[in-house]
Amino acid sequence: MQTPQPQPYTPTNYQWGNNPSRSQLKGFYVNDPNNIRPGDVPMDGSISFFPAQDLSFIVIKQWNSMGQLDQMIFYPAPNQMAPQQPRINNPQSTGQPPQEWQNVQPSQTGQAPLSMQQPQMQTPVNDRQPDQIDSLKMEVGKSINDLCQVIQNGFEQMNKRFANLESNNRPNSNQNGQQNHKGNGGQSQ
Amino acid sequence: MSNTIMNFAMNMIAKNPQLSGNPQAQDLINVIKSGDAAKGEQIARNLCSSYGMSPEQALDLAASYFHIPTPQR
Repeated sequence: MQTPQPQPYTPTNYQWGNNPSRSQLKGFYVNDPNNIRPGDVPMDGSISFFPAQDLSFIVIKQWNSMGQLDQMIFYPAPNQMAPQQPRINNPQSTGQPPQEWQNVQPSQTGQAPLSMQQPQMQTPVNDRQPDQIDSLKMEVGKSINDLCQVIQNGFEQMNKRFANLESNNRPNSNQNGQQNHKGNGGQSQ
Repeated sequence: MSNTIMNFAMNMIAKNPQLSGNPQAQDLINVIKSGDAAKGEQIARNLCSSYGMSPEQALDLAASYFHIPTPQR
């Protein structure tokens, strides 16, 4: 009978960076690009993504071979005008969108483009067309009407319930009064 | 003797799995192997500026970390 030979321990050589199926995005949400510290970017050569809390920009950072921290900032594109290449900013960048995005004309679909002066997810009210404002007012008014109807229905139901409670309590209240009179021995008067 | 120790240390660094797949680390190792002091110094200064500290502060931190006397300036 042969005894099993102990197998020599062979540690698996995990090749860092050669397993794309396990690649995960590195980074976290930030409020200000200046809040990103160099220690937040790993030195393994991978790219780190730092999107804004309101998704008004995405900062991408990566260490290069000369020990410098390369940075790119992506801004949301207008509805029909997407940039061909991302901007490459230097560390002295002010973080403002490029000049060519500040004179964007509204699209033909009637929807106002994103304001590039102050990157926002929603179009400011002042930038919208008059017909859009009127339709918005109608929708708001309709929703207020519906809300008032719901509140009114609720009050009607409450009134009905109170009325039922009062009608149920009336015959019982007379009986209770007689019982108290008996219990107190004529002192209730 | 010192060359043997240096070669031993470089082999250990090069075979480290965390550094073997890191292109930036490989470039730095090649700089050390080639003996290009100027480029190595430039890389070190760039790293110091990226972290927001002066080279002197970085030297003091490294000396205190490795428990070696602070180099005289």
